[in-house]
Amino acid sequence: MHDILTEPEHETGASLFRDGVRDIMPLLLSVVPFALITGVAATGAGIEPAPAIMMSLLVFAGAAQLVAYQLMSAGTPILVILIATFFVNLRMALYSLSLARIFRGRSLWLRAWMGHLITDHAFVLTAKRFERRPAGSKGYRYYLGTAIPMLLVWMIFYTAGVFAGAWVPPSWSLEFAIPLTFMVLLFAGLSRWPMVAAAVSGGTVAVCAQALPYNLGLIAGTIAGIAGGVIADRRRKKS
Amino acid sequence: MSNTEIWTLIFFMAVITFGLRSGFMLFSEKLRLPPWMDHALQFVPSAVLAALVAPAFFTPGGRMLLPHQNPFLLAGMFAGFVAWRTRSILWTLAAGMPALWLLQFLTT
Repeated sequence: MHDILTEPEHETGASLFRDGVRDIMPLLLSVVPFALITGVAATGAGIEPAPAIMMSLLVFAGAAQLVAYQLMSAGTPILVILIATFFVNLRMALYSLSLARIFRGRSLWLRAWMGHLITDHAFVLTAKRFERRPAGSKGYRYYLGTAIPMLLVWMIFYTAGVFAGAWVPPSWSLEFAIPLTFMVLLFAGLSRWPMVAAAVSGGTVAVCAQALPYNLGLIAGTIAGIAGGVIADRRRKKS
Repeated sequence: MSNTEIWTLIFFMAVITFGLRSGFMLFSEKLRLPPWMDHALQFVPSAVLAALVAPAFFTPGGRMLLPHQNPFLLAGMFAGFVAWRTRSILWTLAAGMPALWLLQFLTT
C-alpha cells in the first residue's frame, strides 16, 4: 500500500504554490463582483478613497466591510459596528484554529501574515487539500498560492469599485446590492435544517427589533439566530 | 461620520479582525474552543446574514411597509428565487437590481 503518511518527496514549495494558484483561479471569478460592490458601497457610505483603500488592506474581510458600510449609511455608532465586525468575522477564528497545524514551525512574522490573509476561499481549499494527506513542512506554500491571488484580485476590483462609486447616482439604490449579495451567501450556507432555523429566527428577531436604537437589532437578531440553530439541532438529535 | 471617526473605526476593525485571524496562531498553538462554543459557532453565518438581509427587505429606511408598497421586498423576493436557483451573485444582482428600478418607477 502506498504510504500517505510520509511527506510526498515530489512536492516542492514551488509546485505546491502553483497548485494553490491553479485551484483558486475558478473561485476568483466570483470574487470580482463582490469586490466591486464592496468598493462602491465604501464610497456610498461616505468614505474618501484613501481611507477606503487602507481599510481594505488592513481589515481585508469583505463581508465585515460590507456590513460596516451598510451600518455606517444607517448612522450606526462605531461600537455597534465593531460588535458586528466581531460576529461577522468570528468564523475566521475557527479557520485559524484549523490552519494552525499547517502553519506550525513558521516564523512569527510569517504566521501573522498568513493569518491576516485568511479568507473563506483560501481556507476551504487548503483544508480540503490537506484533509487526507499530511501538510508537510512546505504545506503553507499551497496556502499562500491560494491567498495571494485572492489579495490581489480583491484589492484591484475593490479599488475600481471605490472610484466607480463616485459616478453612481444615489437614485440607483445601489446599496440594495448589499443585501442581495448577502442573500446568495446565506443560501449557500443553508445545508442543514438547524441552519434554516438559525436564519429564520435571526431574520425575524432582526425585523421585530428594527426600532431598537444604534441598530442593536442586528446584534439581537444574531444572538437569537444562534440560539434558534442550537435549539433546532438539539430537538433533531432527540427525536 | 467624520474622518477621525472613520480612521478610529478602521483601526479597531483591523485589530478585532487580526485578533480573530491570527490570535490563536501567535499566542497558543494548542488552544481549542470548548465543544459547546464550537457547536454554536457554526450557526453564526446564517444568523448574521439573515439578520442583515431581512430588515433591508421588510423595513427599508427603518419603516415597516405593506408588501405591495414596498419595492425592496418584492424585488428581494424575486431575487431570492433567482439566488436559490442559481446560487450566483451575478445572476441575483442582474435580476434584483432591474426589478427594484422597475418597481420604483411604477410606484412613484
